[in-house]
Amino acid sequence: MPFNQVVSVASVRAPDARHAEIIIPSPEIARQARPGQFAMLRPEPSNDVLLARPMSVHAVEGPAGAADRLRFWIKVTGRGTAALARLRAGDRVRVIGPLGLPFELETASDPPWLVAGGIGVTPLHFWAADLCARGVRPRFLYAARHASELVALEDLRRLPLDLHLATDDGSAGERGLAGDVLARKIDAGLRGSVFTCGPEPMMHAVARVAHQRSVPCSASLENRMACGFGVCIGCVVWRRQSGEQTARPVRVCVEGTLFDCGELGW
Amino acid sequence: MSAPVQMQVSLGPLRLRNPVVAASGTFGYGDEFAPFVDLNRLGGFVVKGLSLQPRQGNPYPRTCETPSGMLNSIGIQNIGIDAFLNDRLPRLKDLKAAVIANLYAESVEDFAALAERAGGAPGLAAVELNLSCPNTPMGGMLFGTDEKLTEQIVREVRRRTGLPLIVKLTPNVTRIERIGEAAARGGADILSVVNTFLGMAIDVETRRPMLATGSGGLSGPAIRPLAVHLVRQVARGAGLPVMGMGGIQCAADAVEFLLAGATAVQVGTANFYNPSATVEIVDGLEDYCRRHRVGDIRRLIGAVEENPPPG
Repeated sequence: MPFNQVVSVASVRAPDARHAEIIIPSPEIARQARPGQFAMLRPEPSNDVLLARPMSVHAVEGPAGAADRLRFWIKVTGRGTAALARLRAGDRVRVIGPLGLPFELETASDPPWLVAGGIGVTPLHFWAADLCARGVRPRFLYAARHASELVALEDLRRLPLDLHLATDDGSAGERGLAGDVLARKIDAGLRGSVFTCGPEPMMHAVARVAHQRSVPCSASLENRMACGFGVCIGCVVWRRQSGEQTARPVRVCVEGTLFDCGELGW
Repeated sequence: MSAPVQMQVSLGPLRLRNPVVAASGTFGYGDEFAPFVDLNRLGGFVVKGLSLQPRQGNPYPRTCETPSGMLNSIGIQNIGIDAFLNDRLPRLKDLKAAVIANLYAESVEDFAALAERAGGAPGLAAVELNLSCPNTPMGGMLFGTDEKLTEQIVREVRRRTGLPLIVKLTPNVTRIERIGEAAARGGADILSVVNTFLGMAIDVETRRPMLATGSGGLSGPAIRPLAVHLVRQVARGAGLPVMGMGGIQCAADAVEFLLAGATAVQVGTANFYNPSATVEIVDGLEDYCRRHRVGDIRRLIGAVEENPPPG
């Protein structure tokens, strides 16, 4: 059951002008949050920037068995994320969560591929940490335009997973686009169900690569949300499940964020 | 003052335990808000607009933020009136809050059919007609911009239901009082003032409208002064009690509307960014009344004191 709270920001760290890592205290939400879930965040009070913004939970932290805070990464792409990135320790913020359906992994013979593009790393990082704790060793492809965008690199290096890096310009890891790099690795024998989150063109390319190689692929979507908890019906994506004749509009916030790419018609 | 504030209001035949009602399209079918508010603390809520057949709604994107507001072009995606009456309404029947059905149709015949179905449904406290919809047989003209059509639809609905009948007025007209009077002639009991204002936003990087359909309905704090003005116009004219709405976020906003002449208020967009807004406003209204030594909230209705004329 989600909570609606106004709390004081614990800390904010900005490695560059376009990114901010923000820690928000909430034992209630931290204890319930599962990988893949998100929270709606909004500075309080806020009028000009009216709506909260959906931010995937990057990590929950706190004493063992008693998580008490949430960690988010903000990438500044517009008015709302700019307002969140301007928050400082002690500022008031509204946090509504946890929201969305948690990621689930069916038992599979091959370890899954988690393919993150840029700021899409956040839900996949939370999931990777959880999978590692449960004895699964996922393959993680972390891709971005440039090394400076790989904000979660240190977090991922601390996990016992199979980490692969790629940048468009070769400034870190292999040089190439996420889809091309993934294709090479799958063709080299590293197969596994693909779960991806990042810019839509990147996710489309990853889905095409997976589809061509008969590998299942799911994408964690981010659509514009006014509410985040299923009421405004704004965030819909059209999905056609097997057995259905036509696609139907479903809400990313309560029926996602993860969807099978084939069902989206990608 | 330690005595409790009298919060009940009556809008014609509709009695509410307090003046705060959640607006259609912002509260789902009620139970979605159970984690955030005790539904029994509200005066009432208006469910998502219901059409005769289920509707899929408009293409994405359907929403975008604007300064102190938002545009929406959801397209009335809903489960259809039958699914609501059969599956959802029974879950709400024990509530103290008034459950109000908002009805959407694109022809007079469909409004009549909706009224037949909703008219006697046990557990419904009232129906609210959404006339801000295109009249498909007449080439897309909005019902709510035409006095004759408004009166005709209200009359057809009135004949088919004894429930309190609310007509939600669109502000995208020149003389809203005239539409209100037409609704009154047709037999309406209550007027909701106002629905969203037509608006548009353009993404200057892609050079395309932010909404898939181009224009949409503007709501939120940006429209509050527009709505307060129209509530005052309508409340002074039509002779029917008014439910006022438009950008209400807090109790002070709600008091503005009461002072302007509304008997009750609807809270809409605020539910999206603060799902507890409705109950906070109920508490805030009681607090306002105590601070101002107002023992009965009805004393605030229409109580704005006009400024003396200059000179």
